[in-house]
Amino acid sequence: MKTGMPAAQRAKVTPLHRAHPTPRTFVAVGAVLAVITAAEFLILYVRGASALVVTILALLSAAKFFLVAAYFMHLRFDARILTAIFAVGVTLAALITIAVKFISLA
Amino acid sequence: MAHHGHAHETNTGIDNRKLGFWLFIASESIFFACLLVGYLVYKGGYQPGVGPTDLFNIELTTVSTFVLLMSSLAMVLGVNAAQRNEGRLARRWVLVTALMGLTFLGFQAYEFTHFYHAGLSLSSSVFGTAFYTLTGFHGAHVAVGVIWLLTLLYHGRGAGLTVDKGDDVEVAGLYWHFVDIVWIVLFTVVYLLEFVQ
Amino acid sequence: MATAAKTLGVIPRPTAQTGFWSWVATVDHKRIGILYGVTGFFFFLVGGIEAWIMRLQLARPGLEVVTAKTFNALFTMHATTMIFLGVTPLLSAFMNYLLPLLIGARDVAFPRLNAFSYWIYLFGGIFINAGWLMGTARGAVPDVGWFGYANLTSVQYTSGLGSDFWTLGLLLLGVGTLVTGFNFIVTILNMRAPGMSLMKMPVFVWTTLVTSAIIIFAFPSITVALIMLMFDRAFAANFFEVAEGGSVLLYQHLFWVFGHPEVYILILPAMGIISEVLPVHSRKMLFGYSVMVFSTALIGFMGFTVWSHHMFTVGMGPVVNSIFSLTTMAIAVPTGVKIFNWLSTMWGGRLRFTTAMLFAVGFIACFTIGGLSGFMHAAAPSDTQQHDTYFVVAHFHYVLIGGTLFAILSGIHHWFPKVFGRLLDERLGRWSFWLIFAGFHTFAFPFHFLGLLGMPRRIYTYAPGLGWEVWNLLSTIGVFVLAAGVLVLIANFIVTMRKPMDAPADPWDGRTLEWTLPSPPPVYNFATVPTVYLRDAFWFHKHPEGKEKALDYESPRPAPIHLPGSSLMPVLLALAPTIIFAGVLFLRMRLSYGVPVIVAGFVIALLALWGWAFEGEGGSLIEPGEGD
Repeated sequence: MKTGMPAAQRAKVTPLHRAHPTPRTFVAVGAVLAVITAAEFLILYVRGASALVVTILALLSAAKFFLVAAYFMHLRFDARILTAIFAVGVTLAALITIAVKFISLA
Repeated sequence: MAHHGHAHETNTGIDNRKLGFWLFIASESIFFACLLVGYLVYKGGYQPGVGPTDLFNIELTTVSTFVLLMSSLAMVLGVNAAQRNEGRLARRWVLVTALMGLTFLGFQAYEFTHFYHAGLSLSSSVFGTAFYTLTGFHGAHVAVGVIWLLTLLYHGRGAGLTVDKGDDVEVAGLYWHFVDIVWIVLFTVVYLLEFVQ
Repeated sequence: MATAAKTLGVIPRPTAQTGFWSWVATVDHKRIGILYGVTGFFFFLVGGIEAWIMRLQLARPGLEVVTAKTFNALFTMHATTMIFLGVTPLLSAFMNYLLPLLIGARDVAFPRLNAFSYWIYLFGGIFINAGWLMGTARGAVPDVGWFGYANLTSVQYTSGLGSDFWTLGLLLLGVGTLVTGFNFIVTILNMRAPGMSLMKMPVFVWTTLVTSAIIIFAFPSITVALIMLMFDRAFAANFFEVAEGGSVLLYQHLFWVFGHPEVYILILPAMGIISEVLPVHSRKMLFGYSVMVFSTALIGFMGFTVWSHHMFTVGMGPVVNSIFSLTTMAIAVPTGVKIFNWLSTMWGGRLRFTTAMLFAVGFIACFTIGGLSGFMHAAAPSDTQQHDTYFVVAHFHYVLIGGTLFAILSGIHHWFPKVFGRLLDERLGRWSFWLIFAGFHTFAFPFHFLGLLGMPRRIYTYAPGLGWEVWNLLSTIGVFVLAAGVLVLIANFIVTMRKPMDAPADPWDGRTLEWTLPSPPPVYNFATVPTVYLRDAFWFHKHPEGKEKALDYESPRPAPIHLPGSSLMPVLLALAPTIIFAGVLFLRMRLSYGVPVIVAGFVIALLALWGWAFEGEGGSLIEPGEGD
């Protein structure tokens, strides 16, 4: 992108993509997603440590979020600018949500 | 479907439609965040007996979440098959994805009907307004996705979703996974957090 | 691959190159740019007439030129029209026409989506204004302010259809704008000429890129606010129903999270125009290119951090108010930097005061004045006095007329020869400039005094003896002078369009790629796409000044060029949500055929999307030199 050359020309100079995942990788990720979902359900049975449970739930769903984005949506193997675009969107979304919610409480 | 803007012709090396679609996904993230803000502000505003812990069936919703997550797996296997030129296999995975999406919608339709009969509607409380709007827009996105996948099946009639249609399948896949990601957030914030003891 | 003929239910792509239907089915960015420009200028005149009537009403205390209710409709529609139907489309006209030319491309990334954006703008503009046919008395014209604050807009307090036309119409417009944002970003990132790295792009391309990024991240917020409002009005939802626990502040946050970035959408393309016009008519390179680019990006990002400065008086508390005061002051820095860069560009240049240059220099002066009043608003305590007074009206008219409009007028005079093949008359141009300039200041500068003297916004008349009479009268006189200037401008258009198309390709000794093409350019833009080695490559191609290579044209005999096919799907797809929203309107009117109309709209959407997906590549091969 720096020189404005079409990708076909640049491809002769630099490799474009990283290695591609296989169906096996996807099934493995799918299995992890299923396990995390089960864990999210089971952790609701834990009594008393609500702050900890909420934190763990947030982390678990964040993990699912990143796994789907990185593997199923191929971001880990694609050009970095796509991750950048998504990251800007998600970050701005999170900041707006937190800011408006915080101001509404203040 | 031939078009300009194939990956090798572009400055970034990314197909025009794929790049455009990621921009759309980033924008839709803000859209759902704003709907979520509305929900967060109003989620406590329910009448006694017509609130989340009274109405939600967390077991059922966990199952439907599982179905949607597995539908994402089916979708990515379809994309992968198309890219390996296994056209008919790809078509089968896309069909499975669409059916799982329909299942998720079925669960949601059942849930909405049950809540409505229990007294929760769009106008009965601010919680009702926010809940139906947020999860309803997600469901509408799933429905659009199902229609898109069915159209993809028509597109792949005959020889299947072969590698020349790989970009089309990939973009449809991005949409499907994004809708799944939104649900990952919604499932936690709207449902799971209500049941923390 | 299935051809269009073998795919069921698909109309083949139209092939006419001339005539009415060729314009309806066009996907050529140049034609779409002209459509935006003509339609935008028309709505600009509509908004101007709405302002003129308001100024008649306010010229003296106690007048009854219009009723209070009509006045409410006038200020609502004046702002809505100017912002969404006038200025934004006019800026879009420039971006649409010029972007591919500036980066050496033959069209934008998604030509059909580009056409769709225009048609949904046209339909949305008609939709918002449809209420005029029913009259203002029953509230059929939007009359709740251009920002439609809840819960004034709840059905309980505003039962007329005006707010429904407004809400639904803006939703239509928002979709079109979003799509344009995606289109331009992909075009800029993916379709630049060989050698044109990002830091060699003209500044106007950078402002288009940042503006598009702002669009795609800001518009979802107002979309949600409008959906919530529509749900309240049409489906008895409770988002802003205070009695049920709804929060009117939620609306304000969601509106201004969009609303503030929106003003940067209105100014950044204008700044881009100035950054192209000034160097050409100063015959000197833009000063501080990297800093200009960086400032543009910074403004784009920081524009999202200041929104609650529109809400200083709602009671968010001193902590929140202070934070937004600081962020608002901070954003003045990259903005101010640009002013100095433009001045430095002119310093030491061989200035040529064409009409385009007059408006550009006028921009620098007037935008600075507007920026100063804006900075005064940034301090929450002083804003508490200024909020909802004419002091704010002064600020935004200085940045929007003195800023954006002047830039648009500068750009029109600068690029008219390229687009229409004729140079605008310079004598008429100078007359229009001085009338508009003098009229504008006479009209708008009094607003500063009125605001500080306590005159509130959005009042249809006022009592005598408050010291407001002289300023109001002066302002009204100013509007007549301003209108005279606009009439001279229109006369210039008419006179010029009657002249033969004799403008040279490069009348101004330009710096960027559009001036390498004939005036007007052929449908395919570039016969051969050049390889670019420098910023301002065309300038150094003509005046090497020691630089070795600026532009390279590879093949001596250009190959046949594939033109994208025209299509009726964009206009059809734009019709679908218009019909759906008309159905929602019918539901609001308690008419039984509301639901069937909505269903019909969805069916049309499906048909249009089906046709879009399967109508096939279409298009034609053209030899360069053919069809010029």
